[in-house]
Amino acid sequence: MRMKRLLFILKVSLCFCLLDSSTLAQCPTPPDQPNNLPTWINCKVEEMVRVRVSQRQNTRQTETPSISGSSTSLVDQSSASDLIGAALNLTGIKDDGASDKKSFSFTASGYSLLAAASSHDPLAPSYYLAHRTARRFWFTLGQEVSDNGDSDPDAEGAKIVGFKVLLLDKRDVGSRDLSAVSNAIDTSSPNFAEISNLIKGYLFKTLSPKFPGITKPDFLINQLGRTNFIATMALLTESQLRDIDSIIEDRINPEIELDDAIRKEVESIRKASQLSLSVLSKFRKEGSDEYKGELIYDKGLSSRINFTFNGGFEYVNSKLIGADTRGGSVAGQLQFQVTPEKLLEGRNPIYVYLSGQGKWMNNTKSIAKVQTKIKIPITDGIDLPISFTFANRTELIDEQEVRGQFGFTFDLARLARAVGFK
Amino acid sequence: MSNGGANESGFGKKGKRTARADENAVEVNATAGEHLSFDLTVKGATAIFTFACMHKSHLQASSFPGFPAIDKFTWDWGKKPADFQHTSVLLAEDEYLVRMSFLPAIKYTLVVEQRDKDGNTLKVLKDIDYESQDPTDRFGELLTVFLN
Repeated sequence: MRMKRLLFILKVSLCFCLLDSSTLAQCPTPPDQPNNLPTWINCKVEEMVRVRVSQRQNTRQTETPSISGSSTSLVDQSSASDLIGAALNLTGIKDDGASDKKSFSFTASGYSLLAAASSHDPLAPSYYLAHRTARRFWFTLGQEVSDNGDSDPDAEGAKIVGFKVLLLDKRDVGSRDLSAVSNAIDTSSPNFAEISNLIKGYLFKTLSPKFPGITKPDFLINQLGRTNFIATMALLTESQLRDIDSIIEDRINPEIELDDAIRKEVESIRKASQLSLSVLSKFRKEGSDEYKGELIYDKGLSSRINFTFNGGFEYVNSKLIGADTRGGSVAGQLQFQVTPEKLLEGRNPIYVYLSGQGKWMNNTKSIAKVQTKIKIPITDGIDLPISFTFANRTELIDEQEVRGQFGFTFDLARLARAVGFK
Repeated sequence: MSNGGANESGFGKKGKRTARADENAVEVNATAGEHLSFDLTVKGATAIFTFACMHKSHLQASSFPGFPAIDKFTWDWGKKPADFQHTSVLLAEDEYLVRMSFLPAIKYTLVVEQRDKDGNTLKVLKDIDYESQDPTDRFGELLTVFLN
């Protein structure tokens, strides 16, 4: 039953992956066009930029870096949501049919806690820029629950406590020099105003005969105003719409330069390095306590590929004398962004991950794991990660193991925005 | 689309524009001291915007003292006779825009008012929210100014 459900989810995700880029939203034509003149003009100009950029086969993607972690991952990433995130690991699907641990954890940034404690708007630039240091810290609290019976004390539920500090952050937009984008928007703006003025002039010249005696201000305010905009624009013929395209096309170069400047900056942010130190502990009443410290390094290799490396130390503090274990682990992950953000409007893109992990603990044989994972956006702020892991052995029995797992991750800041909280 | 009297529309890849007041044009009696007042509030890391006409760019976010840690940008236009002039010629018509980038910001609110010489509001011309989670999105809010 679980495998059937898993196959269904995989089919759905494959359908998302195979959507043709030609289905991307384009500037609609009458009668489904934007319902006001400024949006319509912006849309027409942007449409022309897309056409020109597409003609020169520029396939660079520039979506914002999207970072989240969940317990379905072998590899941690160097930062988390700016505000509050949560991860719910629902169920494990093991091929031996055994049940598995479930966990739930909240991660909050020091910045979000500080803003809440001081009743400040965390999204006000004056506050955001003044508290860069607080945005380098995250705190995690959680609970791990097992339905594996009471025979194994380590299977008992554990309290999860952790923190992460960002040691190196070249991706913080608040500390970057954005003058290239600022200059490009400044340079292109008079041209954009001229395009708008020429379009408004063309609309008046072409359509005002249908409104005898109307002045240009009255035409712009009333006939192209909120109430009559769609009806007035529906009077345009195909040929007249092409004339408007020509007005834009003749002046499109500054807009393409602006588009390039923004894409370059976003790509530069995506490729920048991040290094963090993470410490995570699990405390149990009866069983062993676990401590894990690790360094996490992220680097964008291209606009759609991100590399992450973890190097860590683990310590298991047993209640039994002489049974403590300690050791090290290294892990690496390549993250591929399959879909651009705009394909699934309001959602994260689909990501595919390839990762590997090696773990060496005293008194036990070393373990090597490889994992492939797909993370599917369900709605804005909620993702469904599905993973398949192969291990050379489990920690208790010396045999190979293959397991599938899925869970949900929540970005509460995105969710809050999606449901309209300001 | 309408939301409680506001007019909603999408822009860019993930942008949403919610207009409570939205005039395409305004007639300003500059000789009587009428002028325009602009308030631009930003949410996010900082603002990138330009205020321009067809002939030149007039103001940038970085022109304001205290930039980049500014939550609200406020300026008047038309109080000085030179504001509506280009090469010393008074323009009967000009196209103005406030152009915003969502690279460092996730929300802007623009309020534009037509005011008399004493600063009293004659009309709210624009009262609009712009939101986007896509850093490549930008929007140019447009207003044609006719002098009479």
